[in-house]
Amino acid sequence: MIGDLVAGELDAPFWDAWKADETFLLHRCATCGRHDWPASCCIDHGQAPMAWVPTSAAGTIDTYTIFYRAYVKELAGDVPYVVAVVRLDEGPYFHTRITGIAPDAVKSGMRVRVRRGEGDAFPLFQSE
Amino acid sequence: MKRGSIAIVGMGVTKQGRALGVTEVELRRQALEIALADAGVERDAIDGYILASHEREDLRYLGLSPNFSWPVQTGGATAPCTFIMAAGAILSGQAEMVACAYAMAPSSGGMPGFGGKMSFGSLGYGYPAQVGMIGAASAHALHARWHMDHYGTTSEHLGAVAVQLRNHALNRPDAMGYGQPITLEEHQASPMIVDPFRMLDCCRDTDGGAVFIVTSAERAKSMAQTHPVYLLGAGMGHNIGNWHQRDVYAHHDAIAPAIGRALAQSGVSLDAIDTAQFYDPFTISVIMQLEHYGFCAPGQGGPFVADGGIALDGKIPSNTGGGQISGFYAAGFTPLIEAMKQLRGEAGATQVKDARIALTSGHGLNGGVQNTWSHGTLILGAEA
Ligand SMILES: [Zn+2]
Repeated sequence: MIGDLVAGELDAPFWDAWKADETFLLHRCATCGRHDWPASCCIDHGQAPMAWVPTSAAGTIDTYTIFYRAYVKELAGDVPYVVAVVRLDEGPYFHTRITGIAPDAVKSGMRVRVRRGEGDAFPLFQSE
Repeated sequence: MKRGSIAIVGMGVTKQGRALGVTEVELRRQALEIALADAGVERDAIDGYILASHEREDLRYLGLSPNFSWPVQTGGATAPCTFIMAAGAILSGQAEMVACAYAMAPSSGGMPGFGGKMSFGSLGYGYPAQVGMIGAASAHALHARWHMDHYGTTSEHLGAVAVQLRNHALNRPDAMGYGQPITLEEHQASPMIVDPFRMLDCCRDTDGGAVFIVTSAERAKSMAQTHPVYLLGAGMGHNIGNWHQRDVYAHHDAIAPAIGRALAQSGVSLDAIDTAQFYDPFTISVIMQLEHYGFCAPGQGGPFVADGGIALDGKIPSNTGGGQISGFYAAGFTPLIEAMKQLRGEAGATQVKDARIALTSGHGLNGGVQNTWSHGTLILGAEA
């Protein structure tokens, strides 16, 4: 079970866009083109040039872990489940679940893409 | 900070164990009494108080009257941070004798975060709790998986750490693992918790308190009864720099700036370190710190430990009290307690022969998305 969405205020544009039509935004510096997630401040150019822009919503698994233990009772039905760190093609890390694949089939370096059309309140990823 | 200008003249460590049924503030009171007796000073000598965590009723309940009481919380790096703050207070003339205090009693319900609530740090860096990424083990597991996939480190390498730490704890009555040997086979058979960590890769929360009394080396000279240990060098690093560079998981923490500054201040090279006491909540922490501190080559931490590299007769005897995994979890104070014991010749069955210089680490403030943000290194010496 993915908990009820607790969206941070600073990331409101991301959540609004995802909820509206599953557009996947990142926070981008218009000066250097660096993308960030969550809402950030460009380490070279400050806050002024930052804007939310649509992105590919795809990337590569950088690392992952498989939960065999439910740390809260609401997750008891989910184990084993994979939480992966996706390195988005635009650069930032995105922590999410990998769906539609056996946990032990997940590998570092695997190409993944956001899952759409399932009504996910939080963007989950699947193998490309 | 000039090498050897600060001394630790008192150490008080309470019983460390599961479910002691004693409150945190009472554990600190007990630790303070032991530390005062160890230093041979009275309560009124303490003119500065630094508490790992938030100060509420400590001063009243501990009967102290300092000129300041500072709370500090940067997770497992808090312990080295309290020493650095104490040194700063002393060297800036704000205090002559500072008590650095810690206690946790998680079995009495003191741990924040879980039980249906969003965990600590869960919103700031990418909503990990939202997808069920909860707890420090999973955050460290991401680094362990990266290390395994990148370097070929194996579960048996992690097990070699667990077995070595238990071997250290076996003959140490102050350790939770005292008299309870484990084998690599038992490690491999222990249940998987968060891949790649098995039960025996993880430390367990321990109740306990610790207080250290810090003063100037000058003042220490006039304290006949004490057995001072000197702060030779200190440094800190923050993993946010690696986060900005998108290079978090290859690192355990930002160790390079911490050890760089600590060595420069102490004026010694890594070769001069007689024993290392690493913060080790999970087995991978020992492996990655050995590499990032430079005790072995990148990727070689697993084989290094498996070949006896951190044993008493190894290249760098480490976590000689069993560490946090087989000793006790007093947050960042576990390594400091053991370093003090080593330098005072009080480490019993796992005393490193002629230990004169010890390296200690602390890291913490679990970011939820990666192991920890803050890292601190202290180099302590038996002589100034
Ligand atoms: Zn920029």
